Amino acid sequence: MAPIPSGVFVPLYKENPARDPARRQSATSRTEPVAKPVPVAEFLLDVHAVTNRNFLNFVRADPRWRRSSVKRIFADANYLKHWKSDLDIGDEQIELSPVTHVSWFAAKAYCEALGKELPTVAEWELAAAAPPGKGTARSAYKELLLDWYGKPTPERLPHVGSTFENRHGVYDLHGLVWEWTMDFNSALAMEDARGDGGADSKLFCGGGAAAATDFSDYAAFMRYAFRSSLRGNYTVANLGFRCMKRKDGR
Amino acid sequence: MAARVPSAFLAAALMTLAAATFAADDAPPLSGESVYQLDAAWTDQDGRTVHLADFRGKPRLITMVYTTCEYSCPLVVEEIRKILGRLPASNRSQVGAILVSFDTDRDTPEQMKKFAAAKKLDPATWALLKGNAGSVREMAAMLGINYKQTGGGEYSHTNAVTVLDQNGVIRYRSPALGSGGKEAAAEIEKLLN
Repeated sequence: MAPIPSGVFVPLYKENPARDPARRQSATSRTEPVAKPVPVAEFLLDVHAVTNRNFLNFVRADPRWRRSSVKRIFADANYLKHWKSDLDIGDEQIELSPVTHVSWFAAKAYCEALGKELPTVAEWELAAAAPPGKGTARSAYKELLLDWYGKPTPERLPHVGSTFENRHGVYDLHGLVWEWTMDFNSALAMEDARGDGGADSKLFCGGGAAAATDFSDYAAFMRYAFRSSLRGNYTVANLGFRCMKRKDGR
Repeated sequence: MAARVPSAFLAAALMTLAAATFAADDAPPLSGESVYQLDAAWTDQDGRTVHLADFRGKPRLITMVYTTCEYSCPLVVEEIRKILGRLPASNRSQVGAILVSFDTDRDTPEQMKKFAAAKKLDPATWALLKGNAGSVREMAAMLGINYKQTGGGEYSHTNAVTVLDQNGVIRYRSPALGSGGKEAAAEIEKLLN
């Protein structure tokens, strides 16, 4: 695992301070939306996404997560559908590729079995914000990300480690697969919404950009939109995960 | 004489226990789609440890709230009350309601009980549950509820009332508050007939 130094994650969206009791007293910022920075403590992050081979070892040890025995509420019908059978990946070439077609529940259980956890959105985004190598211009980096987002998922995913190492020594945070986060289901709830999903407009299209802190980071908007479209038992062909560990073992 | 009373009592107790065990074994296995598959321990408003599978047997309305919530949570509780109110009086006792708290810090059993009393939530119908951060996140993921802590002990969250059948399988999810509860009530009546 690679250490990710502590930092501050600044969400893309702004929040209405009128909903924040700490700010409610202040007459100055009553209606002006603000981006609320999230402090992130130092943590350890898997250098690579979890591979098909890693995940096979997990389901060997825990039959509850095998394709034929997993409960539907925890993983939909496409769970591990690219494998030949319960305990056979069936394609040597993808053993070291990131495991996909895994649900959030399965990813969470995998990490917990190793004494780890899924990273939060703030932790993942902080780690993923580190550019590759040294001296790469931020604009060039964003270009690189959008380039990947515009490409269809290849039938056979490349092996882990095949894109780039970032400044923290972590590989493939962009360019290989999307990754599950612990609180993937926090993205829609920007406000105390009375209607269901009334706040999503902030995340999409012009509604999102209007309150954004960084207009140019379109790739990050795509990640937010993607996360908010997920359910805990969904499995997707280009959605994998990696685990993290907090220093104090929390 | 004095010795026979306790032994008769013990025999009765054992029989009750045997019956309870039999009932549990006798129940068909839970559907893989059941929310009650989540095998976490929860604490209710009386401080008892409960598991979701304990809620089998009745259709239940389930949602997530936190008791210090000023905005939408009272509305969500009213929504459930409205749905229950739409049922014929004879059906009302056959339905339960579960409120799962987002607030793993402040929603102690005492606080949940106080909330239930203030809202006049009959304990025969209403269960308030407190879990740990992981099980709360899992519950939200199953119910399709998005939430996050926004500071100052407040949570932003989706308001969705879900109808679970007698075995914890999701049958209906209300699209928003203020829908009147007609569809949810109709779904429950279907489950009872």
